[in-house]
Amino acid sequence: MEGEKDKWIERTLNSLEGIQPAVPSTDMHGRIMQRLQAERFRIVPDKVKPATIYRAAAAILLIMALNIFTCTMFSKNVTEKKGLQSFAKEYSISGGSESLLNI
Amino acid sequence: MSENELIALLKQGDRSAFDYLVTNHQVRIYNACLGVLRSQEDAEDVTQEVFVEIYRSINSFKEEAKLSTWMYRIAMTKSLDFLRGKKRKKRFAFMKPLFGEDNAPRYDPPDFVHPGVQLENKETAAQLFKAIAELPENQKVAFTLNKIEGLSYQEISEIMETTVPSVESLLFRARQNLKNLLSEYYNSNF
Repeated sequence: MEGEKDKWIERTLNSLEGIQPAVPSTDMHGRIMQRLQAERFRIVPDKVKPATIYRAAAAILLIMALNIFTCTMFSKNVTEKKGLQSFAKEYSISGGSESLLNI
Repeated sequence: MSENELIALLKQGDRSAFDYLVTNHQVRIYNACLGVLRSQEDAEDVTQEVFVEIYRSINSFKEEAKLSTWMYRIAMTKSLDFLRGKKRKKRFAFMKPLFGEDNAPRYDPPDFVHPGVQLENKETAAQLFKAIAELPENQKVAFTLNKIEGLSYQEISEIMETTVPSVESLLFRARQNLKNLLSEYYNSNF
């Protein structure tokens, strides 16, 4: 049993002996030459310099930071105003929050 | 035409030089790719890619190695890249049914039979090619170049940019791994 198995493995390992080169399809040469011809007229886009990428990234970050800062300030302002208005309403103080701020 | 003359013309972008190069090397490059890829269609596609790459990078060829060695190196790199890409796609295809996008059965190609294998060896060679596909990349390349392309250890070492003893070791380990894989196959099928 083991002897047969070893024989089969050996035969399989040697099955590439005498292998002949495979022949590609007849039109492969033409297709390669066509690709090379197309390559000749290929327009290669200019490479973007890393410095340009860094500048663009910095600009995006700056815009984002400004947006976050503005949003935070705006929401803080609104909360403060709302707090003062509800306080004034609860204690029936007239003149609104603006007058309270001047106390 | 000497190799130096050919390289000089290729560097000038001479069309007839490329024609000459394709005519004289396409079968060799195609066969090297076929040994690794196990698909005639894929081997033809990658062979085209190899020649396009040669066209693009001929000016960076430093002539430290023979032109054929450099071409084999590109062919092996492109073939392995192609296989990696295919494996990635297969992994992604496996994920698809999980998300209910595609319930079609997965397609596995039939056993590859190299057209140059002798008729009486076709059956065993198909099993051998299946086992070769399971080898680590560097063992696969060394085995293919030696057993299918018939290249010497020296030539393989130049293509793989390593030493002759390393190639010997790679081929020894490839043979051991193939023996183990074939043994497993024999135990479960005979």
